[in-house]
Amino acid sequence: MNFIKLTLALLLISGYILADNPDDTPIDTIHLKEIEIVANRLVNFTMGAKIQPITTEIKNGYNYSNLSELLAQTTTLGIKSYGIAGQSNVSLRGMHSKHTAVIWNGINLQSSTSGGFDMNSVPSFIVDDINLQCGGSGALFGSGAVGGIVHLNNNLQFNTGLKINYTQSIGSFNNFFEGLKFETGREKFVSSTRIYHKYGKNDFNFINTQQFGKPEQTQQNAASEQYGLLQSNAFKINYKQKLVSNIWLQHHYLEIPPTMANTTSESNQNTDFARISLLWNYNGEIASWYSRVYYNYESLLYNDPLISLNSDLYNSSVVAEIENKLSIGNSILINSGINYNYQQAKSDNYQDLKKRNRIAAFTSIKYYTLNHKFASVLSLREELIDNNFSPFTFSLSTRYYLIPELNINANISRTYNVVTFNDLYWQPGGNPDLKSEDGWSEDIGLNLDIPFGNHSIAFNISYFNINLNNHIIWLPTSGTYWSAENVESLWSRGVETALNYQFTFNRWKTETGLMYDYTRSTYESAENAEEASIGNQILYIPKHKGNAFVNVYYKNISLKYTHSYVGKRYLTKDNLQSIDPYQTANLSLGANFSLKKNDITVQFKINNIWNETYEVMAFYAMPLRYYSISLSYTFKNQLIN
Amino acid sequence: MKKFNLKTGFLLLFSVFIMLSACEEEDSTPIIIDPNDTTVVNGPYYNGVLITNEGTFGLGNGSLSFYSYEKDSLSNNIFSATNDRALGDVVQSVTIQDTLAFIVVNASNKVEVVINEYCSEYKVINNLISPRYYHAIDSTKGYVSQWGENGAVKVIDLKTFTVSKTIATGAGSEQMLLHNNYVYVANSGGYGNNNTVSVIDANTDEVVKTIVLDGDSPRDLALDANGYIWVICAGYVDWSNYPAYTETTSKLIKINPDNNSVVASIAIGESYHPTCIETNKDKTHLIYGGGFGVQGVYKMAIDESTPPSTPIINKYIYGFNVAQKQGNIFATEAPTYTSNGTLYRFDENGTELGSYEAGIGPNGAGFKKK
Repeated sequence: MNFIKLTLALLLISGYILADNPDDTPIDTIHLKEIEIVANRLVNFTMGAKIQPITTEIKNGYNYSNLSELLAQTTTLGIKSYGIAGQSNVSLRGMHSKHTAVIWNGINLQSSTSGGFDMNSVPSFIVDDINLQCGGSGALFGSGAVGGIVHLNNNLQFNTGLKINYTQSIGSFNNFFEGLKFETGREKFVSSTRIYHKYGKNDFNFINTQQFGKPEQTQQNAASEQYGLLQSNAFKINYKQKLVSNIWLQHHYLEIPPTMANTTSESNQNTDFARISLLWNYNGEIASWYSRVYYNYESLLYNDPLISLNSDLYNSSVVAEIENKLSIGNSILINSGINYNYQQAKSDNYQDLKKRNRIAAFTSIKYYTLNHKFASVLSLREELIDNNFSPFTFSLSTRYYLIPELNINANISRTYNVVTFNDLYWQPGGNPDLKSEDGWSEDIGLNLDIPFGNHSIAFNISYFNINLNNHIIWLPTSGTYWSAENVESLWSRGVETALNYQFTFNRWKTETGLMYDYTRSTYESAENAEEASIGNQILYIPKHKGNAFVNVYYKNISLKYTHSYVGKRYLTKDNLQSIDPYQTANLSLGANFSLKKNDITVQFKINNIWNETYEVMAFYAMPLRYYSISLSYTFKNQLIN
Repeated sequence: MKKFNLKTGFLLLFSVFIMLSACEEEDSTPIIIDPNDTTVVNGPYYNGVLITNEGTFGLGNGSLSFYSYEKDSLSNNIFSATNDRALGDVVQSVTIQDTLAFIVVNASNKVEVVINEYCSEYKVINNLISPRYYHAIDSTKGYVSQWGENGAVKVIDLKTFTVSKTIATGAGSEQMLLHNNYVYVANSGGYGNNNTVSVIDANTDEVVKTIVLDGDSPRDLALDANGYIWVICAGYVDWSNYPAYTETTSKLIKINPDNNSVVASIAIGESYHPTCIETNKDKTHLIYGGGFGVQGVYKMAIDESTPPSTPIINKYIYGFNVAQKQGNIFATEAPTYTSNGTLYRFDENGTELGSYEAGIGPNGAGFKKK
């Protein structure tokens, strides 16, 4: 990984030189939504969907941790985490993780080989803006957007001056995080460079409830280490044109601990990737253009010395996309584009190098009233994978403000999910004749937002319904080996509610929130002797999930308490085996000190404050109460007075 | 939410005390139940058969079931119900020795030892890598075959329940058979291929001979009425050029244990790859078949030289064992590894006597010797 280190050093130096130029004069005092450049469709065409933003304030409290911890503690997203540092997949609305797209600055990061994405591989430190989009939107965002989307964006702001941030955290079980960020936002140029290093031994003690005598054991083989760099730049070529680039390099070493049922594990994996994107934006009064190219290379080397197993996986992809946004009059916005995606993967489990070309055409038409009380979007997409058409998808979504405080959103969308390389080519059992999974997603939501005096109440209730057909599962159909087949139908429906209340008084401010999701997600078809599974809850999808938080701020001091409840989860399709519900809670105390251009934030956090013994995934040990202390120092030299 | 009161505290203290005193007793002498002692009250799992259910690999949901002759029914999850914990990941096999049952948990790399009739946890044997089967040698020791360390047999000291010796055998050591104080070990090849049977002197715990067979992937052995040992070779399927593949013929191989030589070799199928062989109650017939995706269990007289053409059980049987006392065939069907499979009971001619819902991935049975 020497090239990463070298590039790191070079970029740091260049970032530092570019950063310091005191002679910039303020010109543009209007805050443009810079995020629109990287996430045009999210900002302009998803208003019919339920979008759950993670506020900067909440995000900043997690800058030393990975996204999985942030999402597990502050949202009701479904999380499957194998231990505290282990792989962590997320899912929305009762679907699988391959049905939840993860989109980074407009690019889908889901693996072409497995369809998954590990949220424990992304430090919160390198993301500026997180939005959860609930429900399917295949026509807007393509394959994978079945249950919902996690949008991760980097938001570069022009004209903000120089900002240097250093974040450090030390936690229980030898956990350590260090991140450094240089950012210079000038009139025509923004450059942001972040480097980070995270390490954890994770050798916590736990009661092994699954072993003879229920001994207290120390978790072994659970260390993880990651370091990397994100370098983002934005240039204003002229008044209307911008270039945005991102380079993200990361090395991630992960040990895979044994389950409580097992005694030893020595397996581990090394993941290295380079993700590079370049975006050109022309922002006209009538027509705007977005053109992006993206390159990704990733190697995943898995090793289990106990059974002498080495499994190497290399994949790479190229995305080229051009998108045009046309504004017609004062009430119509048309967005259309073409997306080309080349994917290839080489694995010990495939016979040879596998590759495919995907090309998709998409268009959206948005109609909105002048006062923005009503807006509706119709979207269409057709994707061609190596000359085979995937299901034609469309969606219709609407938001209507009855009064400024109350609006209704509704969404109906066809969805699809492109077959992964593993399902197509795994030896033996991969099935090259598989077709894309396809389905429908519908939802309707009511959103209330009432500010009165120094109080404010927000309430949201949504009902959703998702059907997915041709779901791919592995069955022993051929006799001597298992093979992937398009046989299953899934049906997920439920209700999501969220209530937030804010109150400000003198130097006091409180925020409280309650979220509760009811998800009924079931198998609707069966093969062979699996008839018993029809109508049963899908594995690892709890029916009940809730989250509550209370944040209290006084002057520069903050006290935050979060509490999560995850209901019973089934381990078998017959729903006879399950793991118990659990509740975890965290408390953090923070203080912020500002002196001229310097800003220091200190945070002390107690995780699992009630010392709960729980399992997120069956038989994977989780730590009891543990602690972390973090410090964040920021130097700001703003250009605007 | 969390409450800790005095009552719970006392209860906790009390149970710790009980546990400690119980441990002391257990450490000194094993609980031995003499089957002929009429004063002893039998445990709930007295008169029946133990069934192992592999569970889903990686999920640790393997389990143990108990078939009761009296009730003609199957109770599932008896280990976790008794001991309030999971049995482990991929429950491979169970062997009963005197009052104990040895449950080999393959992916958890351990053997759980329970008091057979109570299914209560007694000991655990660790330091095994991918163990497959346990075989009792005598009251002081037992053998565990394993795939790890390129195929080996681990000698277990039954005083300490620890590994006392490792005997290198061949890749993928599977089933064992004890005859005249020699242990015959089928070396299946494990993840690859092998074609040998190791013969171990049970007194010295040393390999005295390696018999090379003209069949691939020997998996299981049986002793017939005439004193010959039969080995079933599943045949080897090579998927390395998937979807193209090559396969070798499955065979029954007859060994004369007096000189450890092969005396007969019967081809049974080119694309039929059975993994289990047993005899009927009188040991006059061989009953073979079973395995992942293997259709048909066949019965063949021991003096036949051509295999039968019609099976006695025409199902996809994953594993089976014959109860030598009653002569019943306990056969399992595991259609998927994510939901429950089925246990069937047949007479030795394949007439179905009953079917019962088992745990996930049921693969075989364990019986009392008498």
